[in-house]
Parts: sequence; structure tokens; C-alpha cells
Amino acid sequence: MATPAPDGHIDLHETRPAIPSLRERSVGRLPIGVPIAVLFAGVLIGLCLANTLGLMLGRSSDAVSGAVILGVSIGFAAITVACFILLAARVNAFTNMTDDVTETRRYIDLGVSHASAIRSYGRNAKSPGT
Amino acid sequence: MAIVPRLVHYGTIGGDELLDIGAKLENRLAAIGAELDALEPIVIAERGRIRRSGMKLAINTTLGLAGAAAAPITFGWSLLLTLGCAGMVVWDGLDYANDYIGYSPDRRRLRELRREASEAFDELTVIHAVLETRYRR
Repeated sequence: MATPAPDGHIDLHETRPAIPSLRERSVGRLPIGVPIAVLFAGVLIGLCLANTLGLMLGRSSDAVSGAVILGVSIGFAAITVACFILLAARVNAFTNMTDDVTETRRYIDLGVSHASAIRSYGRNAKSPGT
Repeated sequence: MAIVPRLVHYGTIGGDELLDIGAKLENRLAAIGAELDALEPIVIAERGRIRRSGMKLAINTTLGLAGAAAAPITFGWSLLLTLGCAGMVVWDGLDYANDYIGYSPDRRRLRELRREASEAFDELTVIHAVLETRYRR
């Protein structure tokens, strides 16, 4: 409970509820599949590029040249990365939403407890001199 | 040291009026809670959609890259799989952008509710502190 200074000022930072850690969030956590998928995609992109590089160095098949495979691979990788960025933005927005829900609930709970304490003073609460 | 001048004047307000203000703020918090209850299922549903989207993207990425990697063995035919997956990924990307835009009003409203609840909490904290100080005297 914050106590007003003699000049009436109150440090609200003392009374602010702490921001909950990721584990404490009640509604949502970051989907664990997303970073795993990013890691997996990175490994596959590396393998794919190594493969196509090997093709360009003289191991291309008769049906399709290494340049075509490389072009398709790079194009696909670019599209995939763009999609991952969009998904990351969506995850970030979702995390902000869950933060807002959790923080608002905490403010409501603490505010209601203050309101209950205020009510307990009763209608006869009068300060000296008022 | 954070000082909120708007709240300092509570020290000069009478007890009855402080109680009235406290009751109004409590009602406002109840209204915010009710609105939050209505918005929370949307947030929970969004979590499930993101999980599904992540899985779809991972599968499409895996298949697409596998198609490209297997191109030398299949004489380029597996590139068709890569191109198909690229189409799916683009389709999913459009869905992500659509969802991101679609949830904007809810995100804004949640942020507003958080700010309003924070302000009400601050004011209740100050009123409580003022009343407690008066009763201690």
C-alpha cells in the first residue's frame, strides 16, 4: 500500500503490479512449433542450397539444369521466409493481446481489492477537518 | 519517482465523495471485466489458429524443400511438388495478413481496456492511500 508523502504525492510505481513472466501468462504462450519449424527450415534450406550448388558444379541431370533447381529453391525459400515473417508478426500481435488480457485482469483484481478496502471505510469516513 | 498531478488533489476531497468515486471506479472495473470476458475467447481461438498455421507452414516448407532437394534424383519432376507447396505457402501468407488485419480492432480495444483498467487502478490506489492516511491520524 503506497503512503502519500507530506505534500500529497504518491509514487505509483510502488503500487504497480509486476509484469508477469512468460510462464505466468494464463491465456497464451508462444507456440513452440514456430521456432522448431524455423530451425528445421533453416537446416533444409542449407541442405537444398548445398545440393543445388553441387548440381551447378557439374552434376546437373539431363532433364533440368542446376540453374533451374537453384532458381526454384531460392524462390521457394524467399516465399517461405516472407511467410515466416508474417507468422512471426502474427505471433507477436497475439503475445501482445495475451499480455493485455493478463495485465488488465491483474489491474482489475487489484483495483477491486482496493475498492473493497475503500468500501470498508463506510459512509461515515470523514477526515479531520473535512 | 513518478508523480501524477491529476491524482494529487484527492487529498483535498471529502470522505463521502471519495467513497462515491471509489464506487464509480469499481463499477467501471466491473464493466471492463465484462468486456474482457467477451474478448478473451477470441484470443484463445487465435492461439489455436496460430498453432495450426505454424504446423501447416512447417509441413509445406518441409515438402517444398524436399521436392527441391530431390530434383536431381527425380529429373526435376519433384520441382512440381515445390511449386505446389509454394502456392500453398503464398495462400497461407495471404491468410496470415488477412487475420492480422481482421484482429486489429480487437487488439486496439484490448490495449484501451488495459489502459483504462490501469488508470482506474491508479486512482483507487490513491483514494485508498488517502483514506488510510486520514484514519491513521
